[in-house]
Amino acid sequence: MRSFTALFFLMIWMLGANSLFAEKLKVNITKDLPYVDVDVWGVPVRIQRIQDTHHKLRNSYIRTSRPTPPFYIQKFQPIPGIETYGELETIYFIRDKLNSDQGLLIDGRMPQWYKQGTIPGAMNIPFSMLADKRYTEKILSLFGAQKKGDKWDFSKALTILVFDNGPWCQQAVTAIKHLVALGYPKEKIKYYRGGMQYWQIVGLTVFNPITLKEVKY
Amino acid sequence: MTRLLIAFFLLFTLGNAGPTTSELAKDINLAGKQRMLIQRMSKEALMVALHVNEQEAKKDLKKDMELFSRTLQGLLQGDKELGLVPVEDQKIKEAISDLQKRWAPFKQALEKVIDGNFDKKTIEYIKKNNLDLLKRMNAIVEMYVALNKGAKIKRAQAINLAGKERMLSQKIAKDVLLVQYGYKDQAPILREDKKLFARILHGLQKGDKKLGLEETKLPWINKELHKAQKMWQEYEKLAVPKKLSKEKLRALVQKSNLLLSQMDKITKMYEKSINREKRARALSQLVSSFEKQEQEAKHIINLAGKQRMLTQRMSKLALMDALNIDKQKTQKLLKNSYQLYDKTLRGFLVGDKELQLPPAKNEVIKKEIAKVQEVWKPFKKSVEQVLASQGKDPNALAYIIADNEELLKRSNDLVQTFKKEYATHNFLEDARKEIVDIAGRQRMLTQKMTKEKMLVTLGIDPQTNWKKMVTTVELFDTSLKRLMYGDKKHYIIKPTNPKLVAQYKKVASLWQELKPLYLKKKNSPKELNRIIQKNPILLKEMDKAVKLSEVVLEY
Repeated sequence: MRSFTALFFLMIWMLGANSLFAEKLKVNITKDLPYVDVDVWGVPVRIQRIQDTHHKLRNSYIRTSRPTPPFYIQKFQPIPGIETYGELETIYFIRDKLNSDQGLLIDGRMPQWYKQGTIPGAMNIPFSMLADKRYTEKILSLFGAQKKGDKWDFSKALTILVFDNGPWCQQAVTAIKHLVALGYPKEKIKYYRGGMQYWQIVGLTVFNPITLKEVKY
Repeated sequence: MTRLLIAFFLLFTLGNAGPTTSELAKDINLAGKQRMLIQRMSKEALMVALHVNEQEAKKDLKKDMELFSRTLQGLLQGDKELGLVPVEDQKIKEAISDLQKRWAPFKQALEKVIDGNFDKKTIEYIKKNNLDLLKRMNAIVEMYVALNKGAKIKRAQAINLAGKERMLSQKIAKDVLLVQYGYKDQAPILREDKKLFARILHGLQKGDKKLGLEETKLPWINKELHKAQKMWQEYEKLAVPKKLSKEKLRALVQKSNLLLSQMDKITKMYEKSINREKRARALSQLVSSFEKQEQEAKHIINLAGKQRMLTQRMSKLALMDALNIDKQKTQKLLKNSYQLYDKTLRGFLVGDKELQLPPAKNEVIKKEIAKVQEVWKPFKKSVEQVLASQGKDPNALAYIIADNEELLKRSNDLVQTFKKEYATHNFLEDARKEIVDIAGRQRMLTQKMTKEKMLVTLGIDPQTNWKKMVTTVELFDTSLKRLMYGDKKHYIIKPTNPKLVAQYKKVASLWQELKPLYLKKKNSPKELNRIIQKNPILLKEMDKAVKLSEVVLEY
């Protein structure tokens, strides 16, 4: 009897003690990933999906169409050599690169929009700022690039993932174009094409960087 | 002006040369690690003296001595491989040089231990001087931390104290070994060190106000702190001021090393998290300075646009004054309008705190302002004469009627120059400035059409003024439609913001009522009165729309 009990507990342990004791969510990110915590100024902010399976978008991201120009649909890979990310790759980037300070998640929209809600852990660099010579040098240094004489050394520069409102928005692509023009290595730039719209369509956490609270949407 | 000064201050301070945040963090970390090395070397020397893992201890001691010497040199002159940048601060330089001098005889004592050429005096020397070196190294670390003023973060104390735990893990083992060597007076020091280690570890987990520690909230660091806590519980049991067997001493040394690497891992985790926060703070400062400048550009274009409206408003009010319409109120409004025009124009050139205008620096803009001033001077004089004569100076009125359009034209040229000057070369931003300009022009048109209507009514050049008024009405009408429904050719994006849409609807509904009255060849006095009454309301509502366009961004 004793050995049977031991075997029973061993089996449970083998089935995965983590999943047994981890918080159970109704709507998960993937089969093995219920949520991801991201370091926002020393406080963990949880990224997970909205648990109400009847929830629908109520904000401006329910809109399908916006006037053109400028709101044309962006190519899947608008700039050759720059990898495009989906929601999962973005979440893995947050988990693996942000918390270990190896990468930066950049919200390329104008500050007014960023302040209303962004992806947890994102920092705001408005796309047009990357074309303004008064700021580019300092931005590149903060991205980890080092100025040597007239040239920039990007060997220690961080990997950057840029996003905006969504596939119909040109702000992230414009930001990326500016970064490339500044010499930032293409392999160190990623593009999350889905942006805020797709992030919310799958019910992922939106965070207000001013109030440091989750945004209900 | 204040905004500009702040922006320049931020740019200056943020753009200053010197070590970057991560370079400075690396220097602080390695300087901090030196404290641990002093204790570890002392511990290893005692292990040799007590024949505890003697050979291994000798090897480790040699390595640590090399690393300590190299790091000291690296802190002074830089070391690419170690990621160290040369120190610029003179006081730190001097302190490191002084430490180097004190390190030399200490190093000789350690070498004696490695060579087996030591006696009790050598151990006594190490016992006495390791604490002096530690104290001085600690002072250097504090000086480095003080350099990091720009981005002071309360949490940064965690790096310092987690780093100190590395040193304490070694110091405690050294204390035990000294007791073994016969130094009984080391027992109270050991107790104090253990107490401090335990307190810091607890403080890192739960916070400790006196130590300046905040509770650690990141789960991945807490997990590692929990592991360190378990390691500490085992280590603590062995770290006692009693005679211990060789086996127990070996276990003690092994556990001190495990705890050291665990605390090192934790220190690096804090370092990464705090670096992230520092970077975020610096970026956000930059963005707010950029944001202020952007807002300033829109504000200037809006005020320049408002000047166009004022030219027409002054003309309209001068006519109303001559016609004795609401005399007192009209005179007051005319005075306010010309004073505001004058103040704003001067503000564009020399700056105006109240209007939040910076002084003009650009020569092109200065020239354009001078062109407006040329026409404004005699115009201003005429307005003053109208006011002084209670509207009875026909020459002054005639001048205003004849020259207001030239003043309008030059005011408009100034708007276009500002727009060009603040052009961003990206569709969205330029589109926004275009919208602010066109919405702003609408305000002027409301005043212009009323003025023209009055000129027609008064029989002053009725045919020309009728034509002009029809053109003005049409321009207002088409521009309003463009603003409401968008216009690709003119870079106008259809508004989606509900507040802005509602505001335009309000303007459109007022306009629907007024437009037929303007276009009616002969108006009854009641209808004319209606135009005069409703025109300021149309202007006010249009002004609200301009202000909303300034702040509400379309995407």
